[in-house]
This record gives sequence, structure tokens and C-alpha cells, in this order.
Amino acid sequence: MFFQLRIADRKIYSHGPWKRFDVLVALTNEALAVYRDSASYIISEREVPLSEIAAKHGSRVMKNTAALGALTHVLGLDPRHVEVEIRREFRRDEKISDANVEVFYKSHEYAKRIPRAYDVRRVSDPRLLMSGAEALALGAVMSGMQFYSAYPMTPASPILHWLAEEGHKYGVVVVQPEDEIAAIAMAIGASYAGVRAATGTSGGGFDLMHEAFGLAAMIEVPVVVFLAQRGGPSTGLPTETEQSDLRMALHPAHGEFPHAVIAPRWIDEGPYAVGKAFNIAERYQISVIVLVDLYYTESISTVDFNPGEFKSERGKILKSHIVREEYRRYKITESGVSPRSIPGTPGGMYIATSDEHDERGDIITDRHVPEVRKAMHQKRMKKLTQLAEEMEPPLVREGEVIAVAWGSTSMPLMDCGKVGLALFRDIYPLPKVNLPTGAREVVVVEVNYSGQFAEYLTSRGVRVDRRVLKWWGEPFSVDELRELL
Amino acid sequence: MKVEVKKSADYSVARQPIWCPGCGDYGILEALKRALATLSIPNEDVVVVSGIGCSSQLPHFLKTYGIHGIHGRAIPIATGVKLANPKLHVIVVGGDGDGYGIGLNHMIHAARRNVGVTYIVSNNQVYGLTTGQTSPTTLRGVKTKTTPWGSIDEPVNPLTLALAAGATFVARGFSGDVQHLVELFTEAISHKGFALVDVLSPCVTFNKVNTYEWFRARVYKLDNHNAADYLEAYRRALEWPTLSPTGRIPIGLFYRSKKPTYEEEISRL
Repeated sequence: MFFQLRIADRKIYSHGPWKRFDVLVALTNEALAVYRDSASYIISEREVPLSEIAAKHGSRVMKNTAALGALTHVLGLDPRHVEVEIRREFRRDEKISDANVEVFYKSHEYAKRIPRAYDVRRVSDPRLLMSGAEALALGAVMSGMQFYSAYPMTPASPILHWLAEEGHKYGVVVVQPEDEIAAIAMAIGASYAGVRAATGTSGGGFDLMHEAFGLAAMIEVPVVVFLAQRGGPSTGLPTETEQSDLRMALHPAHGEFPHAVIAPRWIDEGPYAVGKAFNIAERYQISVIVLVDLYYTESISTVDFNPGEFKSERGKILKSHIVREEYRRYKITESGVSPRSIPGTPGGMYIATSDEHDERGDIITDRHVPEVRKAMHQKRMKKLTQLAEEMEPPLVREGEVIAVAWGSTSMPLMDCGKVGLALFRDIYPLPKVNLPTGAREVVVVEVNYSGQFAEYLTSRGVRVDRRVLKWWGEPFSVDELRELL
Repeated sequence: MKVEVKKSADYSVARQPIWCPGCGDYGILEALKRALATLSIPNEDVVVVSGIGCSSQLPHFLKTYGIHGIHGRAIPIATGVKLANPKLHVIVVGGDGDGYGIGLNHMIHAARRNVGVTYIVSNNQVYGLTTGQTSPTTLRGVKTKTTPWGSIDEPVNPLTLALAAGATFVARGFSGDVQHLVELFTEAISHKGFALVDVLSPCVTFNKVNTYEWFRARVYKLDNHNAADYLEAYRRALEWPTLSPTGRIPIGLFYRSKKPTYEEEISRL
């Protein structure tokens, strides 16, 4: 296991090349053996007696803090800035905090025997640092989400953790229910009662949510689902990344119904992608899947964040007194969207039913009325027509070779340099695809075995010449992509 | 605040139930309308949530808000409604298959959280909608389409389960005694926290064993019972023809206690 840090004086999106590191901090002999030839500078027990310094001035477990002291010297960082962060990390226990700071400075001092290699300095104002999961949770709060119910599952859990900690400050009710079925069912109930609601899970949990996902579609209750992928099937690779649930996200549950899939490409756009998810969910009264993966939720990045970009569009909600005898909750309309009432509103009473129903919401299973089924099914499906117009086309950059990707694979591609790009955030319904016509080759890059996005594009008539795939738990690195493209 | 006095007809809709003539669900529907009228709750403040089954069609025959959802998931849906707007009166209805079979875990968890929803179970000891298979409350030895030689499963005891899970209101009624049901439902809807009312509700089409006559010969009203006494409630909940030598079935309020509700606890965070 390793942790990778990349620093630059310009916007970077990924961890860049993997084959070459500037500095290797090896805490074990195994790590040293594997990576020593890839690094320009090395910090290990050989250069600085990390364990010894840690044991002498604090305790053996503070070896990592000792390594941080040495790293601070090699990078040329001001140790006082790092001290502030150490004290913040251990703020709950002053003794531990003091001991870590002591170990840090002693190691920093010792490391002066090896040359300073870099001169890392502040080049701009401080910016927000957040993980992909935090970006999504922040986006949900900024979108006015009032209810979040989720069952723990890696890599979606950090969204739940952040909301459990921070959500109440923004009036968000956060529940950890007994299972994923209850998680989505609660979100549906809350949304029916009139608040913005969401749930989050990984592939295995979403397997369990399908039936209720279909219910939300049938009763036209908007729900946002954060689906954070990891390696599958079954328990699969619980702590490693994959983009193999695309096909499931495109076709969740039985039957036909409208929904949408949005896959934020980098951490900066996470909050706004969530804002869009809530808006289209409510305006079209559909469920929206925000499709990410472990590489996305667990990556940490500095971001530009603009709270002014959130505008809540709640769609057609009837607020004043309704004449019940005239109210048709599922009225056939041109757009397929019918104004909804919220419990508590006089006269707006209706029964939201999972059975096929007529405009009033009465079930039709006890009578044979094919014309009602025909019209009602069509009404729901028709939402996709207008929705497709709102799906944002991919970010395109001209090039001889066009690398096509979706979601988190966009991050390393953004750092690849000259290659042409078509990076999709809005996945379903598919936006207008405007690939440059003069490209020599169109290559779809994704982290799964079968090329699910390539298949999807092909089925929609988009040109695909080659697939570059990876399915062993790692995202793509920049150097790897440069070789493959 | 001026409260409009309601009649049970104020909760009626034009649509007629599609249950078989004589179905116990009629008694539950009538009692629920009367209980709502007794409390004069505005129609728009009531949300009735159900799952799938004959009795789960009940919301369609009431002039209230409601969700006729998916099999076994009425309680978590209702929990979401209640947490989103605690001012609403949230009532869950469903059958024994829905609530004690596929959805049993949700009852346990709603009970331990003490979510403020009223849970009415139409317990007919058989799967009616799917034409007569065994249910979690089918008595041992009873023949159904899926137990042609008699059920070999020990039936679930919903009352002891609810008590063990921490439910703060546990009652049992009988569809054949609507007035008694009205009293139980009124108490249950007024209760702060999770309230279970298990209703013995004969299926006249697919359960030829547990009929109105069968129940009439066995049910009796809990009398001189202290509903604040948990252990006594548990002891009385064990009275059941196959469990105790009396061969009788007590109906009434078994247990009631006061605990903060889930929605209150959340609002304090």
C-alpha cells in the first residue's frame, strides 16, 4: 500500500506518472526494495534513523512523523507550517501532539545531513483541500439536501461520514439504517414528503436497491443515488477502484423507466455535478445516479469552489389549496412531468402506487385498460427526450488520437499533454457527441474488462476504433496512458 | 386552533375495496377511518404507507396521502416520511407476509429506534394475494399450497418479537370486533413512538383453519392487565393456542411505555 502526493504550480488533475518519483519515503524494507530504482531521492532508515528518533523522542509508532520531518527538509518546506498541521491532526491529545512535534523537529534536524533537493514555496492563496467524497457531500449540502440515509460500504462510506459529522449544521437528517434496501426506501419516503433526499452505496449495495429504484421511477419521486464503484463482482476488490458498474447504472432494476447518470470527472466539478443531479431529479421527478469510483471518492485535491454556482430548481410543486376531485397527480403532459403535491397540502391527497396507475394514481391492475398503460408508460419515458437536451456534451480537445473516457479516468487524461480528448460527465441519456471528424483514431479508455462505455457509445452510433482497458484495481497513470495512446 | 370535527365518511373515497366479501381487511379499514375521525386528524396530515399484499391495497380506499410501495419495505419508506416531516401522522398497513416475512427486520429496527409510526398488521396467517401459500404466522401442521403435508415451520410471534425489539406500544386486535379495533387504533395513532397493532384478520378464501369462528372461540380481552409491566406483557404475549395450555388468545393493549422518539432524538442533534 502506498500514498502518493503530487505538487505543482499549475492545475493538475491526477497523480501523474508512476514510474518515476522525485522523492520516495519508504517506511518498510519491502517498499524500499520495490520502489528504490524509481526515485530520485530516498528517505528510509538508511538515510535517517527514523525508528530510533521516533522511539527516543516519542514512541516507535511515530516513525511516520519522523519521516515527515526528513521530507520537510528535502522539499525545503518551512517546518513551522508542518508543525501547525501536526498539532491540528493530534488536537485531541496535547501530550501526543507535543511528542509528535518533538519527533518531527529532531528528524528534521538530523536530515540536514542529506542535501536539500527542492524549494517548495507558496505560490497562491490557500485553497480548499478535499476528497472526492467530501466534494460530493459538500455539493449535496449546497444543493439543499435535507435527508441522507446510507448503509456503510467502501468506497461510498466517506460521504456518509462527512454528512454525519457536518450535516446537522445544515439541517440534514442523516440515518444509518439496517440495510441498503431500507436506505433507499427511507430516501424515497423523505422525498415523497417533500425534502431533497439521497442515498449512497457501492455496487453490492446498489444490487439490493434496484427494486426500490424502480419504485421511485413508478411513483415519480426524485431520489439521488451516489454509486461509488469498486472492483466486482461480489465482494470483489473492496478497497480498489474499478469502473465496471456502468452497465448496471445504465440499466438498473427491471422494466423500463427514465433516469439519469452523471459521472463527475474531477474533484472540482463534483459539487456542481451533484447540484445538477438534484435539480434534474426534482424537475423531471426521476432518480439520478451520481456515478463515481474509489479512485474518485478517495483522491484528495485542492479545489476551486464557488458557492454562488448553486441554484435550486425544484420543479413543479403545488403549494396552495388543491381541489382534490380535480387533481390528477399523474396528469399526462407534453413533457411527461406532472405537478406534484406534498403531504400536508390540503386537497392534494393521492396514493403513490408501485402498480401501474391512471392519472389520479388509482391502480389499474384490476381492470384491463391497455390505453391507460400505454399513455402512462409513454408519459414517463417521454421525460428522456427533453432531459437529453440538458445533458452536457463531453469536454473535447482536438488531436490526431482522441482519448474518450468518462468519470474519474478523465483525471489522468487531463494530465497527459498533447493527446486529443473527449471526456464525458453526463452519461445517460447520452448528450450530443461531437468528436472531431479528422481524428486518426478514437480510443476509449476505461477501468473495466469489457469496455462498457465503448459498447454503449457503439450502440449509439459513435465511432470507436480501439479500447484501452485495465481491470486490476488501479486507475490509469499518466505515463501508462502516454504509452498506450 | 380550531379543529374540524370529522366523521369516518370524511376519510372515504368513491372507490370500493376489491377484497373478497367477508375479508378481515374491511374491519381494519372501517376501524381506521373511525379512529381517524375520533382524533379528527386533517386528511392532508395523514400518510398511509403499505407494501404488497391484499391488505396493502388499503391506502387506495382512504382519502389521505399514501404510498402503496414494494413488498416488505413499507416501514423504511414510512420512516423517511416521518423524519422528513414529523408533523405528519404516518400509518403503516400490511399483511403478515409483508411485515413478518420479507420485511421483518425493518419492524425490529423501527421498534428499537422508536420511530413515530403506527404499524397495523393484517395478520391472516396465509399469503392471500398470491393465492394461498404458507406465511410466517401459519400454524404448524396447517396445509397450504406450499405446505401440502402441513407446515413444519414454527410460526413467528409478532408480539414477543416487538417487545424484545423495544417497541413502546404493542397491541393485538381482531377484525371481528371493529369497535375494539377503533379503540386500539386511536390509542396507537395517539402514541408517541413506534406502535404495533397486530390484527387477527381472517382470510375467508385461503385460510379455512383460522376462521372468524375459530378466533371467536378463542379471543378474550385483556382485563386487569397492567400495560406498564414489561414482563407481564411478555408473559401474556406468549398466550397462544399452540404455546399455552389455556388455548386462548388475548386481545387488547399488552404494553405501553414512554421513550424519546427517533424524530425527537434527531432534532436534538
